[in-house]
Amino acid sequence: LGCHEISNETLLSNSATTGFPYPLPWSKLLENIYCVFNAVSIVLFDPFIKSLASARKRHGIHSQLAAFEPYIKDVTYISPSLPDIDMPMEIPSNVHLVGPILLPIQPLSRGDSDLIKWLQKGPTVLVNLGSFQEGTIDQAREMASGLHILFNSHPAVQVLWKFRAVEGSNADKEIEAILRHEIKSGRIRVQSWLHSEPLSLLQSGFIVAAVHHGGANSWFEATWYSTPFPLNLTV
Amino acid sequence: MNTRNSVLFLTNSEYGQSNVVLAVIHELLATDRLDIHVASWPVLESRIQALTSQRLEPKAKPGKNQIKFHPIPGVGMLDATFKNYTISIDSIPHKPGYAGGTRFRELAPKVLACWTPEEHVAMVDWFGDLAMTLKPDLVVVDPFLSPAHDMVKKLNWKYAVLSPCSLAAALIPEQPRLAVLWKYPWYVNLFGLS
Repeated sequence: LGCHEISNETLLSNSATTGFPYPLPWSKLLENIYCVFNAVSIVLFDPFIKSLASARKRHGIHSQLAAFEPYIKDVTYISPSLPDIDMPMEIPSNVHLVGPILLPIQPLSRGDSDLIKWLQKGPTVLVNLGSFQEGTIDQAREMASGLHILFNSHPAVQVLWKFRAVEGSNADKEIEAILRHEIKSGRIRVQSWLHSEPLSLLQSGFIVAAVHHGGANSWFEATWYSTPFPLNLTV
Repeated sequence: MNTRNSVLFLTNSEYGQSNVVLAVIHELLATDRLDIHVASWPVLESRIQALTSQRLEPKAKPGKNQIKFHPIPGVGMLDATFKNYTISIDSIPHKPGYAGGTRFRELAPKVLACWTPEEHVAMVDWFGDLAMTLKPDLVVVDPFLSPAHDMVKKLNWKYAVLSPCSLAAALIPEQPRLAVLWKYPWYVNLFGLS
């Protein structure tokens, strides 16, 4: 799980994914152990980590770097997850999976009446890979081609796609070339910014699927509104 | 006489990290039982102030329901990563499993040690000074803000971790019979960060 926007966590989560299923099949056992020790090797041998560790030690800090000591038994932990939607695991009593931790949500009607009119036309797929995400031409082509297949197989479905092209990449033009008809007919809206909060959109009931980048906020928000979410981990 | 307890939130300012902090503060303001302090980067300040103005009833007594914002010097987590290292967007996606190992070893330290050692220890000191000045009854830390963890551990301050994420990464290594190796795919949840 990463977060709503691209953050360091997104960088990491997309770099740390083994892609293996749970429970781990025996055929992947050795590879999985390799991946664990690969991570441990960073703690032990990486020059950046080592120089940070020695600077901390010189400064009288003798604990582990927080990332390498993610659980301490007498510290209280609070998370918006729930046991039923998380990995099956034993949860100690100092760890509180409390469910949604959200600010009050602004209803859509306050903002964008034009958007609401459009949403009412049909079931809508929201594609949002985070506010800081910038798409390359290759990503634009892949995703636009995927959406093209969706449009052909599901004639009623429309798409709201938050996409910001990498500057000077022509990624926008690639999308226009592939989805020319759908853009023209209004079946897809490609916007560099979502003017409404993703939560307001999910709450509106018009969104039938939310494609996101695996960020924790996106993950949980889609879950709270029972919105199916295919993941796109190419950010 | 001030008998109110106080809480100090130390958080990154990115939306994904700070949304849960804002939501908790929103609730705390409603109960009006705590003095609330937030230390983060200045971009978060306007969102914090907006919470106060939403919550403040016209007849509220001055001085109540206030949040004190303390801007952290220097740059935030994501900006620090990009300032201190060269990371191209293209280098982030990688192959699954063994094949992705090398790239992962290149990328992970740049995120885990996003601040330079000098910046990191300076932040530990800054957080320490802030805690000594405010003497909060509880410090609530963002799981990603590693200098804040260093401070609360070094000064033995009472703290809790408020995470926007699943805690699977923190808990899987604690599962019995070394299940981290054979039962759980070593996946997105690395080092308790996601």
